Amino acid sequence: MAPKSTIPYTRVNADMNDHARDDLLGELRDLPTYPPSTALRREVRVAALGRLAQQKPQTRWQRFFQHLAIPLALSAMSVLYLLRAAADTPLLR
Amino acid sequence: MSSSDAGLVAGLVACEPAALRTVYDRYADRLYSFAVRLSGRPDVADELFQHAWLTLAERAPRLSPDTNLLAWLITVTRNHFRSQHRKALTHRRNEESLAVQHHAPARPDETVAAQHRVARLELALSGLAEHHREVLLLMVEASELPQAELAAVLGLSPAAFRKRLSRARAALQAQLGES
Repeated sequence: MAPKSTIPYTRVNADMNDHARDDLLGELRDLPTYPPSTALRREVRVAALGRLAQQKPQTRWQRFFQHLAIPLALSAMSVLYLLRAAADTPLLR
Repeated sequence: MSSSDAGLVAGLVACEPAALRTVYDRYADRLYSFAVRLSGRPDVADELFQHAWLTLAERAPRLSPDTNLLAWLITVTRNHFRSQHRKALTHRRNEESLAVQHHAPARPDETVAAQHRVARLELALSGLAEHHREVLLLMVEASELPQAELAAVLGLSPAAFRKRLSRARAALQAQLGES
């Protein structure tokens, strides 16, 4: 049986492939951007601004519930369910 | 998220039109470009683009303060495409992938060889499977975002994202070799 080579051929090939693919990624980043048509740009801008004008900023309480109270409640429920599941394992039974 | 994005998110949460105008001017082109390349059809891209901006305007007051706006817009566009258009386009996209190239803006300073190279890349990109195409599109249109954010757009872990990116690059290289 031939002795095993210590030269990491596979690694070298993999590195070469990686370099080639990095070049490819560079080329992809240089691809042109497709801008929307002037009419579409204007139409969507007006529609979005109109839609925003219909919205109202959230009150402090709404923000509190959305960003703090509800996530905290969901986390607490998850922990409770985990504890309940853990209680049924042989280790904690 | 860039610090300027944080200011814009605060403006959007307060429903300030100036904030939306700035976000629109900053990201409209890239979002549209993402939509065109994702769908392969300008008419579908128009609808995806409109949907994303109207959704942003509608949900502006409920945005989280740490929202990355470009990643958010791309996520909305991708999800809408997957839920509304993907099935219908699967059969049509290969036949019509060249339509995108006709839509591409020409750069006056480009040589014929460079234009040919871009056309080949676009064709190869449009010939990829959707899960490979979208991961490469994120690298094209949102390359400045950290990989963790890009992975979150696709609902992947960073490790799974890197693996998919590597496979997508290999697939693109194979497509370029074939063409």
